[in-house]
Amino acid sequence: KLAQHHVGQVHVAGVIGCQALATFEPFSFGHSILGYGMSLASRAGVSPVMNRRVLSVMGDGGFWHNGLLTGVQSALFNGDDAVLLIFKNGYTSATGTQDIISTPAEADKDKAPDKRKSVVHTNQTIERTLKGLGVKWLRTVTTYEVEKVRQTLVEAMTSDFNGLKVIVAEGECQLERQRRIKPWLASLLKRGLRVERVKYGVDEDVCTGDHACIRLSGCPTLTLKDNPDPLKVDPVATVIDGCVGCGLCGANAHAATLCPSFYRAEVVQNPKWHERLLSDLRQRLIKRMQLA
Amino acid sequence: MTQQPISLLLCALGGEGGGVLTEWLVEAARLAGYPVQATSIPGVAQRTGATTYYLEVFPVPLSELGQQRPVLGLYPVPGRLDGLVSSELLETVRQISLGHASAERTLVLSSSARALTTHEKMQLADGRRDEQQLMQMIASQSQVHHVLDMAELTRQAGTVVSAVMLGCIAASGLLPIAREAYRTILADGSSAAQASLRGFDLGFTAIEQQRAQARYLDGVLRPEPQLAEPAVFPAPFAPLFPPELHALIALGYERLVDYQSPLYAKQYMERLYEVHRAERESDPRLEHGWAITREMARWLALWMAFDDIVRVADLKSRASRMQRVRGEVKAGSSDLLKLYDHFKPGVPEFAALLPGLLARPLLAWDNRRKAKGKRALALPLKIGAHTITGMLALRGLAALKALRPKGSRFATEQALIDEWLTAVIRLTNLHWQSGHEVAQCGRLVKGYGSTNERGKENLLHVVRHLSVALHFTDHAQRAQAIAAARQAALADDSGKTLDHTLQQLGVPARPIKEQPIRWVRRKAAAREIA
Repeated sequence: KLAQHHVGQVHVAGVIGCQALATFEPFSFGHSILGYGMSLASRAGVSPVMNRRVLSVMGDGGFWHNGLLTGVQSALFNGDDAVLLIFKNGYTSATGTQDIISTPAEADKDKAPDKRKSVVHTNQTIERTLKGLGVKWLRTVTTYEVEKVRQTLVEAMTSDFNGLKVIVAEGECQLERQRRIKPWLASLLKRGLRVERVKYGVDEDVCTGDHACIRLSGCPTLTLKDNPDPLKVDPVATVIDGCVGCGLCGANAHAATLCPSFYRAEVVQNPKWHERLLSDLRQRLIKRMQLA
Repeated sequence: MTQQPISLLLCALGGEGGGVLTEWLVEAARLAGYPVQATSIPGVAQRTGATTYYLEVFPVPLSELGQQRPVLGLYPVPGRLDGLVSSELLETVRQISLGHASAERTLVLSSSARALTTHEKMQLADGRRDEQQLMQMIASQSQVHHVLDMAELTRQAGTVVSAVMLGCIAASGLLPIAREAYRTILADGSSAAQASLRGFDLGFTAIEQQRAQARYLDGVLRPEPQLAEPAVFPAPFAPLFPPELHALIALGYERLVDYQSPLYAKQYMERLYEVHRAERESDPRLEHGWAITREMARWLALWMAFDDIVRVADLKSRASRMQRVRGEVKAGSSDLLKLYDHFKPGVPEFAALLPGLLARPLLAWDNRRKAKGKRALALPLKIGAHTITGMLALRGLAALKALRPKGSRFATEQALIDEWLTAVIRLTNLHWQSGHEVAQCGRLVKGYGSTNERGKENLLHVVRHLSVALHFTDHAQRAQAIAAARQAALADDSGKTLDHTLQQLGVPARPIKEQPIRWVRRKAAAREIA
């Protein structure tokens, strides 16, 4: 959505999958939807009448189901000028998140020192397959780094390279990530070990109630509450308890230069002694600097 | 045999345990010895509708049926539903609007809690549905209804809403199953089961209490939210304004003392007094209860306290804010909190603090850059409000308050405020309604950066065109036009609706902005078919 401000309106070819939810408000993205993994193939019918390159979107499930053969193979064979965005979340099917060939291996999940990080980058099957097939223009980004994704999309839409351009956006399926890390964090807490938890929030006195952040994000935990300021009437944005700390709302506000209302809070449970000492020291000094 | 099964439709949002609730009900019915059948239809809650579960229980025990077996349905028949249970108010109404409930036979058990839809959230102003309307819909389309805040009960019990819903169903007496049968299904000794039982009991008790007394009235007669701690009205100005407005004006005054200085707040009072004087002449018999002064007290204070980096740094570095965040993220007393703020001030934000002489060339340079299609320059900052350097930076920025009145933005804002103020006073003198409409346009100004620019541009367009246009036949027509433009300005952030409305009202649309066009070269040779 942000990239369009820069390159103009783009036809987006979608597929059936989690990404199809982007056709709903506030995104309203996806002008055509066809099949499971068919976006790159269906684009072939749309591209000739478009002034700009068409953006095709699919997930890794759709990619393995259909996109690789009908889409990538024929786009390469025909030398098509196309842009493909693959959301590599490591699983297929929103209904059951089944494992597929690009799912990170159990061993890699266990090995990860910080289990809260996405581990999909450990499986490179998609990238190797694309390279093996002869894709020359391949970029990898992290889905939640909005500014980087925007720059890469703009680059793909405006590049002098006229063949197939593929962007792989990595970010582990949040459902699976939550299922993976919740028991791990609970076990750490039970043993009295250090746990760091991230939550985003909105400063209610800084938010002005324009809801531009919601028009860009669509996150279910980013919602509204009555404005606590008796002078203001429009409700302010607020982040409720379901927040998983992905940081998308803050990254959006940052990339769009929206507003300074978002904060990132890291709560350290069972902190180490030197952290506690540093924090005490800081608090004492900060108290002197602060007003009420 | 004419006995009909008892039909029950359950709606729940994702992760609320609707499936589990259905299983509990099926198990409880089996335990009590009744024939039962359940189905589910997936949905996308808050988009296309909640996931629904449909359940039929035949109220004659298997032991009495002998060899006979009832035929149970798979889908609710509109108007023939006995019970509708939902964890969200709008979803309840959505099911009612599908015609499932009927005033003759349906018992509605609904949570009053709202999970706002994207469509409600994405509006520029306040797009939330009126809950009273939803309540009335439930009241008129049900035989009996109980609306209670299930989300709150769920929080109290530390469980999932499905347990509370089960308690409500049990207490409603809809199914011929005893309370203990439900509890047996829930209890398996684990800690989750304990929480479920707590939720069940809370739901059960709440419905029993509601049955005893019609609680619905309480909801309708809920008192208006009171203004927080009333601010002290500055004494010297007391005779100038009617006492009923003192509380609101005092808030505005206090805001500006806090924002800048008592001197600046005094200017607020003087500006407001001019409006008040105009209104007094325009509405001598006080038919409108000082509505213009009231609106202006609010919007003038908010515009005069426009948000800039100095203000934001000030708010973000307060001790009260640290406390609030600790509460919001539920940090325990022994937990450490690290708090990061992201700022991205661009050239205009820096120019705002410089005097006009320096700011103008800087802004012109920035605009030239943008016109060439380059990305706007901005300085991304990540400041840790819990660190000493971070707090020093915030306090340092906040200390620039003294320089604010010398900055170019301050001067611009004051000029625009005066332009709006003059229009309000002029129109109030001419015609009360028109003045009131322009005053309410103050709502358009809010936000940061481009959002703020857009709001001011829209407001000033109304002031410069609609408020002086000569083609209106009478004043009432002008007032209506201003109201229409204000609504349109809040319809979308690209301003398409506003431009369209403006043209319909006979005034020029907002000027088209220059936007760089980018050309992408495409080599023809590469498109040969192999």
